[in-house]
Parts: sequence; structure tokens; C-alpha cells
Amino acid sequence: MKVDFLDELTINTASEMLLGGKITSIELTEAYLDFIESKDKEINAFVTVDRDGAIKQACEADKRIASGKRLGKLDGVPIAIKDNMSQEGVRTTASSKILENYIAPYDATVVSKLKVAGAVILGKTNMDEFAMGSSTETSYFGVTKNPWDLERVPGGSSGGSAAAVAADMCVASLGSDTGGSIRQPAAFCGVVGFKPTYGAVSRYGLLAMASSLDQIGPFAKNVEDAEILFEAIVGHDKMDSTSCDFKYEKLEAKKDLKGIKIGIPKEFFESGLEDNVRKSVENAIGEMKKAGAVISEVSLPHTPYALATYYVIMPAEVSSNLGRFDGIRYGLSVQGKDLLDGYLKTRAEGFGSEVKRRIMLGTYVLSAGYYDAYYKKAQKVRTLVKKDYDEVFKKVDVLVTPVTPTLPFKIGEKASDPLAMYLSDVMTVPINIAGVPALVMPCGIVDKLPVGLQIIGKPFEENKIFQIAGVCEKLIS
Amino acid sequence: MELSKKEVEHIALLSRIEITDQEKENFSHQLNDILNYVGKLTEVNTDTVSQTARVNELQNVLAEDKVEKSVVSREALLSNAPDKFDEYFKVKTVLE
Repeated sequence: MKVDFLDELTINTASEMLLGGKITSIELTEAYLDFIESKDKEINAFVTVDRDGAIKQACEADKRIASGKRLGKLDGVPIAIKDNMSQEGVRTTASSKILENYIAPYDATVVSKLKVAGAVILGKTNMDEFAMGSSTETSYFGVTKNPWDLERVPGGSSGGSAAAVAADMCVASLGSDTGGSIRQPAAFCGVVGFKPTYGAVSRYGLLAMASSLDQIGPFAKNVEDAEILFEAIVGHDKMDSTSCDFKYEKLEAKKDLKGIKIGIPKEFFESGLEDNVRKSVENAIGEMKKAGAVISEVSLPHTPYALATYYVIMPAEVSSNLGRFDGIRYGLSVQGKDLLDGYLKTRAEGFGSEVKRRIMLGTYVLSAGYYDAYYKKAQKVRTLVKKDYDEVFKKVDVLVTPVTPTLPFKIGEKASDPLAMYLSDVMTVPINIAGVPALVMPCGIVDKLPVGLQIIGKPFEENKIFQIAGVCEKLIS
Repeated sequence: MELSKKEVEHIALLSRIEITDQEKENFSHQLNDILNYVGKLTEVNTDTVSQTARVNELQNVLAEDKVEKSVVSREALLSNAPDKFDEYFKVKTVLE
């Protein structure tokens, strides 16, 4: 059958077609694989396409559906995952040369949960090397292009996962978010992206970047799909000692926002925010007010320090986590004259500039004499940032903010100035520092480019975020 | 605080990364820019503030003292090794 409706498919619609026998998972999966083969030449969203594996999974899904043993909504639905999540027997590179030929020997917990739900995994998506970047420009496998404008970045670090959904190369996908790596690319590519509460989703099998900040979450074409994918991956896992015992309970859909208290943190609307982004977000807030939400201005006074806090804590954890790449157990190995020389050469050749920069920065802030001035200081400021959120959530249900200060920037525009690139994370990083959940959804189009809106909630109240976002989606579209 | 090229060399060695002269030059500028930026943390009074290492309260996880089979086999874990000997990773001589 000719499948020419990939742009209309959501998890729900695909699932209904599969269940109703209008299409088989094999037909759907092959349609996606064929489309990726042509479309991805211009986008470069995938590092690895697992054609054989995907077809095998689709075949099993068809058998289950035909025999009345369907596993649920995700059964037979083709999705993609970011290339920093281990999938057994499949190349897992984190877009780094050092792992160019690494074949993961086991499944990450999120991958095994998706398999248990019957999802078909089409392949692994491109990203900034080891998730370090905001544009996918640091990938060893080349930049991913923004499907809205091929001269612009898709955002990062999960740029491939966002672009793959935006360009209809999968129904939905998974990304990871350490300082905005799901939310900023979701905004830049005009899709829904969600970063759960720290500890809500297991990171076992995720190639660690900064362990006190990393979370895995979904990308999707609408709020409902994002919630379905989130429900499939949430939950405690004994293999990740920081994962929480948390049972997700979906709330009923609402028609309006009557009685919902929404805080607008003034620090997110100060200098640096482009006028056209501001207008789109303010327009969306106006619609929420019309729908009955109680809007009030609030303050998160330590917001201006969150980014500086992040750029101490994150590199410190990076320098520790990436110590494992030694050329001995896996990955690239360059021979040296002795053990030390082998380490030096392997890491020099295997890592790109941004990764080296962050490892060195982290090594410095943790080194004797500087530990108190940088690392300890940042951990204390982190307490204050988190306290701001604890306080404000005594007064409001959710916060609404912009996601990025600007529209998607051009490829190369910020690549040579690391600090300028870091500053593009200013509205997403505080959320990881505080560990709270946040969803990003499209709220407008300016100059043919998408603008995103961020809804931030209390820890473990993702159900309320999805409920509110579900209403907003109808208001804004 | 300005990072000198010599300090950058030292940090690179601690990081186990060999860097070129050009990289020394670039990294010392870039790291200085970043350190100047994060220096703004000194504006915040934290005299009476405790540190936050993680955002959610964790409980100690205890397990029974019982041998469990690894979910991943030794063979699978060795399959990516650049160099191995029998069932072991092979490394260069550490002791003379």
C-alpha cells in the first residue's frame, strides 16, 4: 500500500489504524524507513538506521495485533531514540568519534520499557557529542539541519530527535535533557518536548553526562503523544539508584483553565529576550487568561545565577563521568609508549573540542585550591535557586515562560564562541538546577520559524502540566 | 583569576588529554571567558547556605548479601574491548 500520510500520524492515529487493520506495522515501518532514506539526506537526523531490527520488531507487533495480544497504544508504532541510549546489539555512539564503533551490550531501561510496550525502534538520532551543545554542531557525524529552514540549527543537544519528529521521520522520539537538551530543540523544531522531574525516569544505560541533572524524556507531535510516551518510560528502577518510587496518574482532560494559578516569572522576560519571541509567548498567556487561568507575576530572584551555577556543576560532573573513556574497555584506543601516553592520545583523538573544553573546565573547578571557590560555591547557589522554586510553588500551580531568548540561529553563528552558545540555555538550565519538570510546546510562528512556550511544574506533578498543556494546545492552535 | 598557558597544560594532563599548542592558546582564552562569567557567583551571599548535591531526597538502598547473576554476560562486556587476553582486558605493563 502507498503510505503518503506520515505527516498526519500521531501515536493515537497510528495505533488506531494498526488496531483497525487499516495498515500493518511492517507497512508503516517500511514507509518510515523509505522516507528516512530520502529525507535524511538533507536533514541528517539519524546516526544509525536499524532497518533489520525495526522490521523484525514490526513483524512481531503484527503477529501480536493479529492474534489479539496487542500490548497497548505503542505496539507497532515506529519511534526513534537519541544515540546516547544503549540498545543491545546496535551501535551507540553519543555522536562521538571515541564510540564510533561501539555496539551496546545491553538495553537501557527506557529501551527495554519501549520494547515491552511493543514500540518499533527505527534508529538512533544525532546529537551534540556526549550531549554537550545547543545546536548539534559538535556531533562527530555532522550537524542536523532544522526542517523549517535548512540553514538553521535544530537546537541541541537532542537536535536529531526533535528534527526527526518535525520532519515526520518517526511518530515520536526520546531525548535527554541536562540543561535544556530536550526543550530547546523542541522549541526550535516546533514540536512538543518534555523533561520529567529529576528521578522520574531511569537513566540506566544512558551515557551519563552530568548525573545530578540528566533526565530522559519524550518528543512528540502533540501533548497527548508526549504523555503516552512518558507513561511508558516512567517509574522506579533498581538499576538507577537516583530513580524515585513514583506512580504516574494521568488526570482527566479539562475544557478550560478555570481556577488554575499560573505564575509568570519576571526574570524570564528581562533583557536579551527577542521582541517577536516575547510577543508570541505573551499572546499565549493572554489566551490562557481568557480561558479562566489566574495569571500573576512572580519572582525567582536567583535566576540570573542559575546559568553560572550550571557551568560549574555540569563540567565538574562531566569530567568525572567521562573518565571512563580510557581506550581499554571499549571505544577508540590509540597506542602510546606507556599506559599514561595511551590515555592522553586516545582522549586527544577521540573527543571533540567542546568535550575537551568541558572536561578541562570540570577538572579545574574540582582541583585543589579552586574547589571551594567554584564547586562548593555553585552547590550553595544551587540551594538558593531550588528554594526559589519551592517558594513560588506555594503560590501557583505552574509557571509559564519562553524557552529560548531567540528564534533558531544559523548554523555556524555561535559555533566559534562557546560562551555565546552557553547563553542560549539561560531559560532552560534553571529547571534542571532545581530538578523540576517542564514541558515545551509550540505557541506561534514568526518569520516562518516556530516559537516555543515552557510550562514548569512542581516536582512529580507532571500530570498537572500535561492537563494544562492539553488545554493550551487547543487555545493556541 | 587568569589561567596561564602553563596552567592549561597542567589541567590537560590532569584531564588525560594531550593538547596541541594551538589548543593551549584557544582553550586558555575560552576557559578564561567562561571562568570570568561564572565568577558572578561571588555576588551571591552564601554564608549561611548549605550545599545541594542532589535535588530529591534519596534513601539508602540496601540489598540482601546474595550473589545474583549479572544481566550482561562477561563475553558481551568484553566484546567491545580493543585488546583482550582470554577473559580479561589487556593493558600495558603497570609495574616494571
